[in-house]
Amino acid sequence: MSKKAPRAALKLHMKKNTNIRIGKNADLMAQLNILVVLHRLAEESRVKAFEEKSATIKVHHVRAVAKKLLKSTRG
Amino acid sequence: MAENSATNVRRSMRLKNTPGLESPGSALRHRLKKKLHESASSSPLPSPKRPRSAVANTKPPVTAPSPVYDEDMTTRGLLRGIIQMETEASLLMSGQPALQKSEPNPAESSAGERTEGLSGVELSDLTLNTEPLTHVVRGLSRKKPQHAFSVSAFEEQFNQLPDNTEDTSHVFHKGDVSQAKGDASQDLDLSSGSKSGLNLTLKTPFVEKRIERAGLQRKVSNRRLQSVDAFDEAVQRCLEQGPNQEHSVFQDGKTLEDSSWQKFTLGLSDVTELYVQSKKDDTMGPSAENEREHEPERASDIPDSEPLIQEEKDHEMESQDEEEVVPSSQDDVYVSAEDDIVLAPTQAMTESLPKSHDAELQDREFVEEVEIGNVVETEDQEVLEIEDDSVEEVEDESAEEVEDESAEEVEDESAEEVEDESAEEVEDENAEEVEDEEVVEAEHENIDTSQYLERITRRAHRSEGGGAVLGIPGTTRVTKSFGAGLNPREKDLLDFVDEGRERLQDILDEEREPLGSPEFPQLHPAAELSTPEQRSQQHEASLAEEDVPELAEDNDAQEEPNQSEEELMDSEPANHSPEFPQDVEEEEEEDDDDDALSAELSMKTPAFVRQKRVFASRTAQTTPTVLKEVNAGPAPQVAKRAPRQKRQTGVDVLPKSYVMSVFKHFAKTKVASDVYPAINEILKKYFERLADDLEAYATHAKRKTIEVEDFELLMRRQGFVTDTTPVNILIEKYLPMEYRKLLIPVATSGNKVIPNQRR
Repeated sequence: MSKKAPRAALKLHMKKNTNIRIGKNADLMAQLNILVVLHRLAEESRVKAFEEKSATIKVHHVRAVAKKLLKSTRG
Repeated sequence: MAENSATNVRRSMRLKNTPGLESPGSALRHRLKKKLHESASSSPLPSPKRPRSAVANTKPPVTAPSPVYDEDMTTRGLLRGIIQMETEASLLMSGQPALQKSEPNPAESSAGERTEGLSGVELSDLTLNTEPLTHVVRGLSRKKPQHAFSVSAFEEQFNQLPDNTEDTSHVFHKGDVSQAKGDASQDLDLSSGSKSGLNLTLKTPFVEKRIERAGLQRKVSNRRLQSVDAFDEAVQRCLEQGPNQEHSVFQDGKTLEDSSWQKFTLGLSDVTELYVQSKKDDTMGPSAENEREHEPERASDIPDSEPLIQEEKDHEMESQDEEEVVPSSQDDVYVSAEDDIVLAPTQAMTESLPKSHDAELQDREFVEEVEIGNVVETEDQEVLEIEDDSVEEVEDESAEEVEDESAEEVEDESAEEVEDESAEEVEDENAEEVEDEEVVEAEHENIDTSQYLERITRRAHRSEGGGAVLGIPGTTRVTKSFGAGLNPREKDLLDFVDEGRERLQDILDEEREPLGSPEFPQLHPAAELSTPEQRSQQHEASLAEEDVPELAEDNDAQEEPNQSEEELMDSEPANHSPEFPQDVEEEEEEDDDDDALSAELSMKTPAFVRQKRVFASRTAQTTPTVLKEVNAGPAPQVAKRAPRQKRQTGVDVLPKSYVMSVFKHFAKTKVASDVYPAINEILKKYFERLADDLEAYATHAKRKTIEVEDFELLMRRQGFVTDTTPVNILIEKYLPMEYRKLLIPVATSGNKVIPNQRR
């Protein structure tokens, strides 16, 4: 499903700590980035859930993957 | 030489062709030479056996022609022989000497002498040298022992033949030299020649190793020596400062500590200074109170042990002596001009007793320094321990008094209360405590080393300033308890060091521990202290191997009950186990450290673990008491949280519906809805990092706004975009249509591009 992400919220996040400004469509890219990351997160947690033979993704599945994911998506 | 032989061969050939002209002897020589060459060329065979055989084969020819031909006797001949020998020797020297020995041809005067000389004098060496080579050639095994052999052999040879050693690589030179010197030199040459390969390869590494070891050894010895001198000076200073015996006791302890501290600080130099200063600045505000509290606590904590004081003094003196040795060693290592800083804490230590207020401040500094020292002197843990112990003792004594009153772990709390009460008490108590501690320590020295380790680790945890610091104080503590008695020198020094450090940090703990355990019949106050200490020790023992944060928490919790118990425990047996006092000390130290550190930590950026511990300690502190600071701390935080929660916590993350829908879509399986908060947290962290990175990219491009290209770079760095997956594909894949249009220029009819591109 392609939904519209709230651009305002994204902008808010990105400008939280700093006074740096956001370009015109940069927040769209941010959304793209978030989508990609979420996608990866979902994939990994799904795999982890499968390991435990549960059809649903539970919280601990997600948490277990989170740290590794955060580390990998550095740049 | 080869040429010569070749020419000789040719000559011989020609001669042979004209047998009538050539003498049978010359013909013989030529043939031998040929054989030699052949053998020489074939000698560098892979298998060791072959060379030996080749050597054997070549040896007779080598030896035979050598004496026969005058040429061989010349330098050329010698060199040639050496070369031939070397090639063989490189592979298997062992064979040659044996062969040489076996062929003591009288005809082979020079050669025989050479060989014999080699065999006789240097055979052993050669074999040693060569054997390793063979081993190396074979299986590359036993290099180290071989090295040793080679080195020893080389050394002998070197001693014998200084000239040869120099020219290991110059066989030729050796040959010439040998000729001049005669057979002996030849022998040397041969040996050196054989060695040359070995020397180059084997000797040097070995020597290096030695050097390393020597250096290490020297360092240690130097340190100790210096510490003694510095220690003496420090002691004198302390004596001058403190008229009272009690004070002197403390002073001595302090001096010990100071000396050790100085040594540490010396080593740390800038690091410590900066740290100390910064700490001072940072801790002045929040920790000032704490320290003040601690100091009076210390003074108060030392209750009744006047008689003990003297005893302690004696012990202290003894330990001091030992410590001196240790700190001196440390001093050697650290050569920095931080006497001022170092002195300050020492003075603080001394002053703290009589003057709770002043001492507090100074103690802080001292503590800071201690901490710094701890950080820097991970290596000199032993020394540190000793110093810390001494310091700790002082601290503990003062802290104990305070603790009794306020039953608070936190130094701050008790310090405040005690300040009013016992300037005098502190002095007496401190002295007593110090003595007690020392005594206790002495007794505990006999205790297992395992305890040391535990305490060390604990102290390490306690130590401020992060992991490194933590490690040091832990070690110091262990030594502290053990330092006094059986283990002279380092152990004692370590204990003192630890005491010194820990005193500043964990006044209460230390006092309790040492006092309680060993001398409970004698020292009631000590017993009181010891009981809580013991308990804390017990806790520590159990926690000994826990993580730092855990220890911090436990220590804090334990200190509190311990403090209250101290007052109650007069008759409790001091030490059920030697570990306890030490543990208690450690705990106290840690707690104190934590308290002091927490303030500092908040100011600085301590190690990650430290932060954890700070939080843990803070929480522990908040539980009981009356600390002004502590109360001040949580209160405002609580006040802040309320309004904040109302405002932002709900808004910070992306809308749940959106996130969950996306997630479910991607997951393709059922997703529990309670994963949302976790995802939120993850996204939050991710966002923060993202923003920082993007900002960095934009700044790097000298722009003030984050643009699309920044994101592209980010994607690339994250690995989502590669050479094969351009960004646009990702865009098409994920974003809804509207957005896609905006990002990707689309060409439409009429030569229009959407969005409008500026060209």
